[in-house]
Amino acid sequence: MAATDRGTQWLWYLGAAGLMALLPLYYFLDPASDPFPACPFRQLTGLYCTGCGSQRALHELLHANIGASLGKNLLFIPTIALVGWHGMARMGHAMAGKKWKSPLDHRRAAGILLIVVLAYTIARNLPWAPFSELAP
Amino acid sequence: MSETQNQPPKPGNYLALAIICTVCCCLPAGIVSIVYATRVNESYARGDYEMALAHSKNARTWGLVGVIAGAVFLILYMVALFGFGFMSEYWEYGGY
Repeated sequence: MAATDRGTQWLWYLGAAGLMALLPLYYFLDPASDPFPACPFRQLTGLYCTGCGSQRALHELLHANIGASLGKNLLFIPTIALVGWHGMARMGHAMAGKKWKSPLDHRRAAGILLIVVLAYTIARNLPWAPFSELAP
Repeated sequence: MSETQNQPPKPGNYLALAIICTVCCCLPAGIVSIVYATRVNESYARGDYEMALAHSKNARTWGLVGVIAGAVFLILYMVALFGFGFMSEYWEYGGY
């Protein structure tokens, strides 16, 4: 499994470098008020997608406002925690020449993820009280 | 999971890529990528390695397309933002 990720390895490094470069920007500018790109999906459809609020969530997270970050996008912190852990652990084990079975390799992982993403995306677009909290 | 002696290892399902793609705002491509990721697992569990490999490639393609499209959009916007940063006030109040 580790070997099959090699095809996207360059992207991980590029992405990590790009994100590092952008972090100060997300720290000093507030996407909620400063001119930041709104998602094309939102501009086209007017709906909130799964990632909507991620930029604001990142801004809040960089200021250590965990609650506010979760309020902007509930899945943002879990996502970067999961993917970060997955990436780090995989890289670490690969360097040590060992194989590591990530939770993302579990055979139900993709199906569960699909359900979570779809349910979350639909829920945050519902205008009623318990669900509207999920909107960014 | 039915694993026989000579069955090749499971092709990657690029799930991490799909997650990043979905949450980093390229929803449609991310969803497609996740769907293909589920099919990689299903096909492989059935023992259909060829099909699993095909789905794996699709998952990778869609994930890459989404992430790259998102990144290009962001970069273009950032360039515009800094290129015309001083005009942001004008944008807000004067409009185009």
